[in-house]
Amino acid sequence: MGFSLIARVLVSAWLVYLAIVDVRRSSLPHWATTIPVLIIGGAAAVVGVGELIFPTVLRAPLDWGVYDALALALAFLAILLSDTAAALVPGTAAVALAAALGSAQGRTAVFGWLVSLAMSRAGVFGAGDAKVIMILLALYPDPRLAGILLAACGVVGTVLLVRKVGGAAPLLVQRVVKDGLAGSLPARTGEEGVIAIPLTPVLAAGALIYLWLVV
Amino acid sequence: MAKKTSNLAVWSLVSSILGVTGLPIIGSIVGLVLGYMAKRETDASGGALEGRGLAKAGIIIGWIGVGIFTLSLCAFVVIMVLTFRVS
Repeated sequence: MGFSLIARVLVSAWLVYLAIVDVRRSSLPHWATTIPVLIIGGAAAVVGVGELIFPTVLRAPLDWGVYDALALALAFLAILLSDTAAALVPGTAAVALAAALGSAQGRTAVFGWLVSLAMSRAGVFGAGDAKVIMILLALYPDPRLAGILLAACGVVGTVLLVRKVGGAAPLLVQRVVKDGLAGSLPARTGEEGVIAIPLTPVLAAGALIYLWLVV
Repeated sequence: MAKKTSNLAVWSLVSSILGVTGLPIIGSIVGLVLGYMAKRETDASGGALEGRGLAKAGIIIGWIGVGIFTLSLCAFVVIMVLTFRVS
């Protein structure tokens, strides 16, 4: 109970920090995003492989099964290889392993990681935003958290779009669909974007609602 | 003698229903594959196997699941691209 409260306070402080940095600098520091992903992915690999080889010595934390840790390790490998087509092999294996043998927790984390990776590669999320989602879903592998994050993005995005763009929305939607079908989404550096608000504060708000009102 | 129902057809329906409830897209795709396999199995059995209706239901619900997922994904991508800047 005490540990859970301390963890929630620390994660909340981390989220607030990232939200402020994102608003001010439009980028997220590597030490607060990339390094935690590397640590979590590395730990999943050690625990997954270790528990498979030495089941009496190593035990996966958070009630995760051995296959959950292994699937997350494969998803991590897909992230490391994401600049090459070879990433499809561990990515597909991670989905198959999580779907067939994983728990609901493991499936949430693995699918969350791979969907975030795919969205980031497609240009829908920034790499930093995707890492924030990955870290949150690894620490709290709960389908409710994934749902809240999706809902936060969807609701905030829809409200802002309708309020700021109004009648021009169909034309903009047409542009995005046309660009998407042509294989590229419009650049979103702030100049070309229609509204271009930072995503991390929205993710942070959703995660804070989950941490303090749902858990 | 009572006819046997195709297991594939039953699993197709179960997977497809999962696809529109707890296991989006994966459940739908598995349901579709099993549904088409079950349809072929029942046709090839020469009437010894039942479950063609279940397989058909699995296929229809599977396609509905794929459709809902695709539309939701498109809507999500459009909203994200038009609203948020990437970090």
